[in-house]
Amino acid sequence: MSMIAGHRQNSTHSTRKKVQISYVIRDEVEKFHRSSVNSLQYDPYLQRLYSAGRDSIIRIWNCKNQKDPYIQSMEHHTDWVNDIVLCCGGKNLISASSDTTVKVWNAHKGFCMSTLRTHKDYVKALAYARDREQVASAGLDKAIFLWDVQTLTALTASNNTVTTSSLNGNKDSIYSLAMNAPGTVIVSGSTEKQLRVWDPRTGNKLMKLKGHTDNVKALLVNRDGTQVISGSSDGTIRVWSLGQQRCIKTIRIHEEGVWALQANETFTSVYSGGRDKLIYKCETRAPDKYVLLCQESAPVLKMLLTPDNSSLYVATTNSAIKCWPLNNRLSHVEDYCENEEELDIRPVMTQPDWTIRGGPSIKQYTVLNDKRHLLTRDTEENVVLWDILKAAKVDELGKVDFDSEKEKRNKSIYVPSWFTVDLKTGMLTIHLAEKRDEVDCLSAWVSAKEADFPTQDGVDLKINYGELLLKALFEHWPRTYLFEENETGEGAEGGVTNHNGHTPRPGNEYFSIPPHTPVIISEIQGRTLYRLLCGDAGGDTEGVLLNETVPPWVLDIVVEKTSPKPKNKVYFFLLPHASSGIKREKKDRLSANDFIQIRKVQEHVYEKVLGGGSDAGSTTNNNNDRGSDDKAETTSIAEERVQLLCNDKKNCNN
Amino acid sequence: MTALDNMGEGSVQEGGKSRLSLRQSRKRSLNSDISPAPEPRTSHRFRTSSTSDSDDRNKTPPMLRKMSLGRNATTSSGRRTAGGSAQSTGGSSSGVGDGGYGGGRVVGVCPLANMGNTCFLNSVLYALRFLPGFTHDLHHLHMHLQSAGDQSDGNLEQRIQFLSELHRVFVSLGQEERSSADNKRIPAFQPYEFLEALRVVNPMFEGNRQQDAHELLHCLLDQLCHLPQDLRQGKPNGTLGTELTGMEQEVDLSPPEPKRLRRRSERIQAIEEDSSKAVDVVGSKFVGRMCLETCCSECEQVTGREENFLEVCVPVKTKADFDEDENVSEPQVFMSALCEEECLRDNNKYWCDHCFHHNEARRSVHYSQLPHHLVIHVKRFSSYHRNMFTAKCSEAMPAPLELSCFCRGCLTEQIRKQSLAEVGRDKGPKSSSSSKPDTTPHLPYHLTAVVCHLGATLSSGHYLSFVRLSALHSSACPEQQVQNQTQPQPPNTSKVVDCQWMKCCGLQLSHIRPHSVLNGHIDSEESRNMDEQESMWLECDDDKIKLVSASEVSDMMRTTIITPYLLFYSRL
Repeated sequence: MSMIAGHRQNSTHSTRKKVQISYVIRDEVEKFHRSSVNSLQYDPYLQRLYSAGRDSIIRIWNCKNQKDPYIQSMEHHTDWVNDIVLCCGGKNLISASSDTTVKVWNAHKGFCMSTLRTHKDYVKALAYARDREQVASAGLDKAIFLWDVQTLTALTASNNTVTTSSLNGNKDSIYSLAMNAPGTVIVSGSTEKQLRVWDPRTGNKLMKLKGHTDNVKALLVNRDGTQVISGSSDGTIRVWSLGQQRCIKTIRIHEEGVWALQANETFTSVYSGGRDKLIYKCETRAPDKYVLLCQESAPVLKMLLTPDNSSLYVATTNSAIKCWPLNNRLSHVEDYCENEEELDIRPVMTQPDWTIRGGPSIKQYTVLNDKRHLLTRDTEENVVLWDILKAAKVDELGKVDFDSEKEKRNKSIYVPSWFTVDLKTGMLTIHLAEKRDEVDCLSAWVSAKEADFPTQDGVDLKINYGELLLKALFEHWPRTYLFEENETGEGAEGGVTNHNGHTPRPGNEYFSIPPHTPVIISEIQGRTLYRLLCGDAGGDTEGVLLNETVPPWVLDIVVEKTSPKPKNKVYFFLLPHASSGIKREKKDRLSANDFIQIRKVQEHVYEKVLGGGSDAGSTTNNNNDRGSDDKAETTSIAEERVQLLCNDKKNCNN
Repeated sequence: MTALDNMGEGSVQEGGKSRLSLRQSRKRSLNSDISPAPEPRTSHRFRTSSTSDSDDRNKTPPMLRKMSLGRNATTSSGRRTAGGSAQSTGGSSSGVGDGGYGGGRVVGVCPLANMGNTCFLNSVLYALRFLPGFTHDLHHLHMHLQSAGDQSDGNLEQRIQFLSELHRVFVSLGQEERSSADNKRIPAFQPYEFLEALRVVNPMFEGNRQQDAHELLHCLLDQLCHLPQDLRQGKPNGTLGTELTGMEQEVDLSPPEPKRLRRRSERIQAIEEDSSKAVDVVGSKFVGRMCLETCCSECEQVTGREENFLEVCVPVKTKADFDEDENVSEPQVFMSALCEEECLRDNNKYWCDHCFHHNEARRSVHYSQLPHHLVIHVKRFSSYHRNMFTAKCSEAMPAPLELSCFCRGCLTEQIRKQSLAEVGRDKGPKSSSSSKPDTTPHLPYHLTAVVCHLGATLSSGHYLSFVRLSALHSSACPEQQVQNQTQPQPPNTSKVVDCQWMKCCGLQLSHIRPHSVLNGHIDSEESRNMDEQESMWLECDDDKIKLVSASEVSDMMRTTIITPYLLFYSRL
């Protein structure tokens, strides 16, 4: 079966789901993996290692320089990178991600050449047939697509369609995939608990292999396509004969799920790792003969055997990558399989050859009351204070107590929630959405003075956090500051623009965010439409893609300059407190925007209720929020004389 | 005729009340607008024993009250109308031979009269009466409640009244059966007082319309479980009370239940200890523990939640739900409905705390402890459009007459044996370190009663039940044996040892025999029938009771007309 797949996003897709704007707060260069490492590839000619992280970044490492191996990052994905394959003799890299895309990269230079958006759900696994330069991708949408690498690398902006064939039949999500080098056999492992085998040349189903009792997460096929080794969440490793269509060996050495497998060319030795953090080497012909090579510090996600079988690179749910030596005499199975009765086996190696350091990932966060600052704690127990509005780190507090720090920094102020935080990449991703689960990105109003922004001529302005931030995120997009030019293209919203002319500088008048900040336009809980760096929005291609993807609710703010309107009103009663001795017949039911400040209420009480003269320190019951405000004379008097109580609790004024 | 008059009055009064409750229900339906959407068909529905009454009332869909107002005029089922009861006592043999389930009328069982849409009540009462040991346990609970004395709390008083009315139904039925002449048909009994008491305890049952038998059963079990506990909490430590409690506690501990040995964790142990203090011998036999587990497909971390349950709710599954190449048997289909796994995927992914990511996950139910009496509620009715409509799934899902224990211990043991058989001699040294088999597997369950629903909707239609004539209605009181074994004699043992259950409300199976319509007297085949009683069942359709065979019950479950709705399994 064949189909045409557009490698660029079809813009009609974007209208179905609500679209959100996200950005990542991070350093310009993130040298170390922030989270688990999902996949590894090795280039033996350049002695480079490629690693795919859950922090959405693929990194290139120089194995010749073990002191400082970092070469470059490949950044374009917006979610976990689940698998990578190196093809064309190391020239190109293909990656699969939970952002539902498959990307083609120039591996030597590290830039993204094209994006394939054919999958409808997370892409979990890739397989590569070296002799035919063919790559297969599969994932949670149950589909397997076959790609011709030569076609993929020839894709350009104008020639952007590619023909793919798909292999159907899987009834469940695919978690593993393997193809032999000549491309005669492809095997998939899924939550269906059985393996399915196809001939990728014809697309014919060859067989189903049953035996596992849980998800199959690791697969290997030998070169001539006669044997398959599978690792499953049921804790077993099975060796299958495709000729006999049955399982010929079941290896039970792991206590928990087997997630990673490697074997030598002849399939005589298998290396296995998984959830139990242990890495075993075992002989397929005699599964009783196994040796515990080493114990990792975290569940093993991927292993990579170097072509000369001299070392094993291991990626875990920690961000570090370890290289274990195999040419060592200790790792020979024959020496160690004799002491079988010894149940408590100790690993033959305790120290890896070398380690590619990993960075900490953020594991906990709390939004402070001002809804602008955020405290996070990472895997190394460091506590960091962030400014969401400026997309920047404020302070590294070190290894301090998270909760007491939170107590200390929480101010007595109420601001509605206006963003959501996502830690999936181990870094801070902030989502801004129109109105979603009660979180509306334009709901937070504060006084500029309070937000520490200098006010012109002393007049306090009400500012909207979401509005300012959106303007800052798109301030490099010419359409937001060049009014004449943006009228040409899009008809729909091109009506009346506010030609009021007083936008002296792009963005907002208070702050900018770091230009290296990635900005992501995506469907909520869905696929990514576009990712760019904040500072790159000035480019021509970027402009075209932004026109296609920026949702109308953001255009209203950043292009049309429509100010959001306060939406929430609060209603409260203003009553004299019993102790004041003031009698009033009528109950005053008042309403105000939900960011009303206490001083305003105090002024109201002083002027309207007390008639400006009474000296009694009147007390009042009101119902809601606090803040503080400006105006000179009356305010100070009112503040001195009026004490407000909310449900009998005293409101502090600052 | 008096009964009819009574009913007339009753319904007038209730008319007023029901209008009131209608108004309430409208308020509730407003609430329900913002309540979570109806559960998907595949998910299990849990009822924890901690559910409070008021909570329960809110949960009942408002349509139950609304839709059946004009019920008497329109009686869609046609078989059962409000006037049915008056005719039933006089009607001699109208019901004979109308069903396709063979058998004949029986004598020796006092039937229950339909008092106007009360088949939901009758079907549940029949099922409970023939549930092995139930009337006995209820008898002792009743004695305990009587001895507990008057309650100052009006609510408690009502609830005690409710249970004692339930007891009185069984007493009355027993009396009728004993006093009746050998070969006479016993006039149908009208459980009117019980219905009244039920309406006091739960106003949902007010009005003269068809009700959900499942709601009734749940209300009953809930009372049985919680009343004794609430009673103990509500009253000061009176002398009589504590002694009784202590005694009953022993009783509760004493039934030969090896499951106490297989406590899984300290936490569960604590809960168990707590519930064992309860005097609710009846209730505790229905309470099991289940664990809802979610396993993230990425990190394979399992998070679980343990809770008590009174019943297991299962979706209707058929062979069509399985792969064609998989050859599944009927019991396997039923078992898969009991232990169904749900996959969280596509737009319904699971947010994993460990991965900080939306991942696929597998959600499964495990039964850490199964009760003595297992009630299975087949989810035939699914509501949609915010409970405005219900759809019935009437596909057949035959339930096996015998069901092996499917608690976690038994299942893992089974799997262990299978894998051992597969590995054979060359099993790795690792697997020997896995858990040893602790004790003998649990006794299997036997199907003892089935409440069936006929018709298209919850508010119309008809209920009837099938009950098994279990030989375990032995007159030997289990408590007597217990008292003999335990040496210290509580002061008021005499009362307990001398179990009056049989004379009070017990059911004597020996009285039950087929009524030969042709001969008009018991024929010589009586003895043969007695031998076969083990596999004989009664079809109880209000006042009409027929003898059927076990195979006829199995056949019934394969049809789509009479659909099993509540299944009662007991460990015999």
